[in-house]
Amino acid sequence: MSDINLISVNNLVKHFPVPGRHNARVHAVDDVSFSIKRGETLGLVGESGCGKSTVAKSIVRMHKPTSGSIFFGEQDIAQLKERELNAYRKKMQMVFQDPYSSLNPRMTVLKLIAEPLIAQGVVTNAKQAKDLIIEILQKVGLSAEHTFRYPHEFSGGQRQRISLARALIIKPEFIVCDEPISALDVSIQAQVINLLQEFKYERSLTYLFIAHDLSMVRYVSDHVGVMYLGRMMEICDSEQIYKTPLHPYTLGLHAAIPIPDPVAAMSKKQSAIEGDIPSPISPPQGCRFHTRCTQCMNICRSEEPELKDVGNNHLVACHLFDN
Amino acid sequence: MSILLNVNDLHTSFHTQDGEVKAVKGVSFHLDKGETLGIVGESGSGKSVTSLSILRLLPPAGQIMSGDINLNDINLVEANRSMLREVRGGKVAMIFQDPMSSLNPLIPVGKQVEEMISIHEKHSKNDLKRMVLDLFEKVQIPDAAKRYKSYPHEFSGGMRQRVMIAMALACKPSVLIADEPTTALDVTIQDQILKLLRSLQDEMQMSIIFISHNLGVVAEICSRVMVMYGGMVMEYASINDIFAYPRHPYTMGLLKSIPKIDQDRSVALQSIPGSPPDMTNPPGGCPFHPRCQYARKICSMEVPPVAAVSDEHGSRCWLLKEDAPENNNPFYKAGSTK
Repeated sequence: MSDINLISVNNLVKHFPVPGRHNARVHAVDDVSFSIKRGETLGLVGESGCGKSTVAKSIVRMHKPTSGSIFFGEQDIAQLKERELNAYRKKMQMVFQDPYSSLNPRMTVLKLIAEPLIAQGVVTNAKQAKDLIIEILQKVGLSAEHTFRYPHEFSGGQRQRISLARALIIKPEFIVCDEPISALDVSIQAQVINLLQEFKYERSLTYLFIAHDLSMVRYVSDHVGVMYLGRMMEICDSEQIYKTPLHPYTLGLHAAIPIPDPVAAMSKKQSAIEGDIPSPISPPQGCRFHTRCTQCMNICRSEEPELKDVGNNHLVACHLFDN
Repeated sequence: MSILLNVNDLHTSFHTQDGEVKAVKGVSFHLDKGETLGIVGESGSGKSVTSLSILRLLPPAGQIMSGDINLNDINLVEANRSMLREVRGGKVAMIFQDPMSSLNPLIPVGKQVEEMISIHEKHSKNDLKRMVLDLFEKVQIPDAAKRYKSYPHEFSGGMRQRVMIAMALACKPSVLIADEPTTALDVTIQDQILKLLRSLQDEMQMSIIFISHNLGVVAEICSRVMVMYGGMVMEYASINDIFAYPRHPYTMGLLKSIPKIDQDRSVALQSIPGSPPDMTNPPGGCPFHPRCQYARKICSMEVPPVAAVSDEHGSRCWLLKEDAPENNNPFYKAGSTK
């Protein structure tokens, strides 16, 4: 680990047009800033629609940000053109949630994993890369005999291993994992997580890890960011997010996690969050969480709180911590 | 407590191109009045097929090969169409994982719930509407009168699941089968739905069969659990016993593979190696033996019998037999005493 930021996102904004509604915009991500140090994992949590996937896709430039900057090392890649981006594509890869739809059913494992190599011009055809591919397959727990099989011949966990092999084959520095385990069976989830952790230390990879399972996020991440309706609400060390969460939303998320322990579950008294997440087309005035917050004050309805450091690099956007 | 539903040695198979696939192999359990039974298992473990068998809702390729399913004194395996019509929705209701695909997108939700009531009971139009509005209030859908006329796409996932629950509860069923009802929802909404189910259960005195792959959710809502794997019940026990004294290597593996919120980050998670069995070509003997770290010769040859750990706790594992050897046996001398 080092102190140098590999990824640094500043005031990222991404709005999407709404089909059929001329002036309406989906405020997917609004003014989000954070950085990830080389060799560290940042976990992003939040309910669906909070913008965590949009942040991820903006960083790997599957989306072009509306405004803001995204530094990869020294270079701002937020507004780079496709051709200029090519050099960065090699350095960052993504693992998706659903291993059933992210692998082309008509390609063999060999071709699937060779694709990034061919796209980057490392090799010209899949056969040349066969040795490399067998090596990476073994690393992710598959074997040479799998090279000529098709995705449908594999289970969900094995497919996610193939996705991981494909992401790792061009030796990226940074990998975005967008809910990589939520589509997998419980007994398989730990296998994939352990594999991700092994590679992190072996290749000193940097991860952005997105999930809605707070206990898994805490386990894999060095820092955790909590997003709500396009805003970063709290970001801190992963121990703090569990031991001393500050934002009422984070507290609510904590209370909502089912505890796999019936004795503790019985004694759980904290009230979780009521109601639904509001529409991101017209997010609430003031603090975006105020409509569901149990500690809402007058100021929360009119003024949006800023993300401030309250000590120990613990950042929180809430008027409760204003002074 | 009195037994409401009794399933005995149920075998359900699917007839496919590759021959007979045995999805459920000898499942037995009972459901008491007012209790919540959890069925935990991975994909392909037979948990959903078991519940579909109870309501006789299997797809055309599926068939109950043998076994008994008794609801009070109705034999559901033998029941004819008109009896089934009375049972489905009337005595036993079901909610599914994906509320969007369970609702008709072209009909206002209020009408869909009304339809459910009018199939089972005769009421005037005004009465029906009033009953639906009452139900909406019961499941805490805000602004019920307005929502009555809304279409499914105007609802969020959590609200849709509330509509499904309203529909399921419309005829005051004695059994509610909830098949992964919160899997597609956010944790905050999941928590709301679980709370709702618990309070409705207290109010209506119904029994719930709660199917889930999430042990945390099961811990919050169930009083008893059965763990399924490869079409069989591997272990059943009270909720406290399953977590505190698991007596099956699969249950132990499942419990260890979920991180606790205060899990030590420097220690790797314990995972179960391998993949769930391919049910078109299942392993012989105990279905879990290829992934079991304690497997011995007999495990691949014969299906283990259910060993009683206590009255309400049983486990299908050879290691619990009295003459099981001591080495590599986590249950040695611990099997019967706890």
